Amino acid sequence: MSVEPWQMKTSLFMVLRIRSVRAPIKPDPKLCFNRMLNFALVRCLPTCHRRCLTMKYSLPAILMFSSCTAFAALGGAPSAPMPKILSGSPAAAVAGAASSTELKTVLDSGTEVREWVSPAGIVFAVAWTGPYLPDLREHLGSHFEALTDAQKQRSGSRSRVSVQQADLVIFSGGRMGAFEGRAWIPSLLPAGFHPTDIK
Amino acid sequence: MKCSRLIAGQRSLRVALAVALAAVLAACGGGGSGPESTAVTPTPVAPAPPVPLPAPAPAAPAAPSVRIGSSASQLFTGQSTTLAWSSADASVCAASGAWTGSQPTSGSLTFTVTAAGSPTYTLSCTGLGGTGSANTTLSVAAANALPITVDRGPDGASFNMPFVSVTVCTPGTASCRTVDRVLVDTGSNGLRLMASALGTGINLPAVANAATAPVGECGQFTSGFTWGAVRRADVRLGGETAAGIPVQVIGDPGAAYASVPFACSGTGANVSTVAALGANGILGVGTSRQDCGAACVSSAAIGLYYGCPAGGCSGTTLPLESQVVNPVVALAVDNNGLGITLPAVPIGGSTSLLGTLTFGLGTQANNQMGNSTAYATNDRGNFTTVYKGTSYTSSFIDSGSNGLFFNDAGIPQCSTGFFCPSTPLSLSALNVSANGASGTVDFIVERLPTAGSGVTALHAAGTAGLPRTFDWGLPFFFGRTVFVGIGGAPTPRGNGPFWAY
Repeated sequence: MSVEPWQMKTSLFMVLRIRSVRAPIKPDPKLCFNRMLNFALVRCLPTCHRRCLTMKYSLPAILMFSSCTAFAALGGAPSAPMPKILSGSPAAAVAGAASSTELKTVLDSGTEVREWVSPAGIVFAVAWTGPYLPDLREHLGSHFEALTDAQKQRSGSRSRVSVQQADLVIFSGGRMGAFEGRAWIPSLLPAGFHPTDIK
Repeated sequence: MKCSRLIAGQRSLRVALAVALAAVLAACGGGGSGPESTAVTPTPVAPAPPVPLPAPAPAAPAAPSVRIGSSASQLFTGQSTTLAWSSADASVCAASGAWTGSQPTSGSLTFTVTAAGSPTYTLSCTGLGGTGSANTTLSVAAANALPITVDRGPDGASFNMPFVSVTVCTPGTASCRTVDRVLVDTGSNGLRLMASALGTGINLPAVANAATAPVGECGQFTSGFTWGAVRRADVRLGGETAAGIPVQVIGDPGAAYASVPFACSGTGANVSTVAALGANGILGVGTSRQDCGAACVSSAAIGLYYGCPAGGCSGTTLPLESQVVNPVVALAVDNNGLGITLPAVPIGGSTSLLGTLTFGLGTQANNQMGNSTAYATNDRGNFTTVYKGTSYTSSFIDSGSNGLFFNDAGIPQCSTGFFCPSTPLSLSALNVSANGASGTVDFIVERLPTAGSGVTALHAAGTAGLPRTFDWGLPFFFGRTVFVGIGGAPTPRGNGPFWAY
């Protein structure tokens, strides 16, 4: 109901619909290795633990898979696997916009997470909508703290978060049972891509 | 209070009710002017002084004295109380005020109060020495209503936050705690109280999952998460009780809940303290029955409920009867919805605002829905708001939002994301529901007050920044009664869920 306008719009993008149990697509080993070095011990493994509970993968598979997916974040690589896009040309482009790809993940909770990825494989925008909050630490990455800082400001609003910085924008609203939010890095938006496209 | 009804229908002289009478009379006689009794005011009857006689005059008759009191002065409708009175040097007594008729010179009367208000019961007794009178006033509140206060909150930093007091008790006992400044939130469902506000000495039993592990909850809010235990309590809302319902105890000191699950802390900031939340708790009275519902019955990966055996918490399924429940649906009566009434707020704001939270829709004289229009919602409590040509399909009415939040790039913002127009703006939007109801809402947007103004309620608004959301926060309630129809509950406007105003 509430996503109908959006669903029409997404026909302009190539949307990879990924179910709650993600398809076991083999990631790029080189990318994996570097990311594991940088992140796995700090953030990926604990996140992986959460996913282990829901994905029912064997431990080696989880380590391999999650290390390439679980720490994805705004400004980094996408959380959803992108086997084609990273190595080839974008599969879809928006009129007037430089090439970008929209990835959609549906979590077990029913919440949808969308990520907009540049041809270089960098997530420049993320949006979520649904009954329960996704792992925003994962999806916002190093920008998660900007969200929590804004939430801790008692002078700010209740029930709505607004971060409007020169190089980071986060809006989070809704309420338990019906959340909505989006975040983007203005400097990374492709030419012709407008923030209103993040929905 | 209808005096004639009281006397004709409910009067029952309880001469044998020695205990209550003795207690009341003792209270009246012991200390003089307690809150439930008044002093005697004799009125001389003989007007003209007699002509002085040489012989000594006989002693003048003593003026009558009267005492009257009630067994309880603070009452809810539906409760009974006992008036008891006594007099001296009187031969006849007459009732006036909230009751009428002649009364014995001493006696008691037990009756049920049926209407809210402040009835005063006066008794005048006459004897040879004149007339004396006394009175007592009851304070009768509607059992299905709670007073709302919009004030600066527990830390003095809040605005547009409506608070009530809630009493919780260990189920089936008189071991209770009353917690004030609990936020009334039509945007969530279920009661959540700070462990620090409950204090020690009250033992609420823990809710366990199928594996008998104590259950913790990650309450998800846009402003952050609340982590704590799920426990059962009798929840008293005014004069009504939701018996033995699951509630969240935020910041529970129990060892099982010591660590916030990693996934929970990934949803935002931890607002599990009074200082961070800006309230001693949240009374979630939205359109849903539970805070999760069927999803948490079947899936352990929702992120709300965690089983917490020794060794750590992990996601758990939880049956509906164990989930944190909207307390209204668990009331014995008046459980199909609620209404929130706030007075109008002038431009510039109010420094204090008092309102009412009333339970039930069309079930009592004080919760009739009048000529309000119901806007049916989807199962998430959303309808559509059209503002300046754009439809926002996930719009809702939220007393827990301290402003209206929507998109309008033409209004200047302050640094906090609130709108700061140089002069107040008069705007309008159209609310549309799937049941065909639609109506225009006129509203005001004004800038935030200067620090130290003492304003606690004002027409604040800010940028939502979201493609589907128009958040009708607390300013929407100013000068209105907003009704919440709870999902599946029959009401005079059909079954919920809906918003009506």
